[in-house]
Amino acid sequence: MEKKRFLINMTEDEMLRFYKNQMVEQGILSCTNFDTTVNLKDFGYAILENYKDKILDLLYKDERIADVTIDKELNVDMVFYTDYCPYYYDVDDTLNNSNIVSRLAQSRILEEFSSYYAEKCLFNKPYITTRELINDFIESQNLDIEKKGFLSNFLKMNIIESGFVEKYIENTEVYVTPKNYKEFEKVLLKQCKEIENNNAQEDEEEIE
Amino acid sequence: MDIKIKIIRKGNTGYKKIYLCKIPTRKGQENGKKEILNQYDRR
Repeated sequence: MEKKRFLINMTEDEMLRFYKNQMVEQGILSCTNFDTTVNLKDFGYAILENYKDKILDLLYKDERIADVTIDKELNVDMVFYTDYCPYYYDVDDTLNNSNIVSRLAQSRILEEFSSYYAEKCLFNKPYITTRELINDFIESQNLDIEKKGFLSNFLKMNIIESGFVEKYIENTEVYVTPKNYKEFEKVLLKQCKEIENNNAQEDEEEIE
Repeated sequence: MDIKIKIIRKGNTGYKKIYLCKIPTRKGQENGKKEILNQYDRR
């Protein structure tokens, strides 16, 4: 069924902000990593060509953008802060630094994190993004910066691998809510079980 | 933020972009340690 369409009058500022948000959101959604390129020609080119500098300025100010350039062909090359990339986690970090936190502690922390929403957010902050939830949880832990960095990436990896992101992504954000938090807990506990099984298997192999 | 990149041109097929620092998770977390984080082909 064709979606209902609307005509809206906008000021110059509103129009530029609208297109800037479209570029950032489309960019974030189209990348599995943390960077992407869009072209101004795909976003009301005739208008935006004259506002290249203003668009660049707005993009620089966006909290999701780590770096951005616009070249002569009007390609907008954006690098996003990785917290805002719903499908990205640092694979190398999880592989190379897994000794920072013991395997047993990783599984314990994931289990603790799975119930953090129900304990701390359900009544105080019922609609929370997975990004905020991870950051709140990590901040509540008495750990050094290195461990916090590793665990933050580790938790994000498990949320992505559990399939929760794919199922509940809304635009560029993934929310934990009173409607889906039990599922959130369940899929993370399943991830936890898998880690424990892997640990047990590796221990057995070491003994042999 | 200044993210250092090295670009290698690859004819008409696009180019490879190599980041020389770790991409921060959010604003204010700009202390990258890793030298090369990612490389990819853009077509």
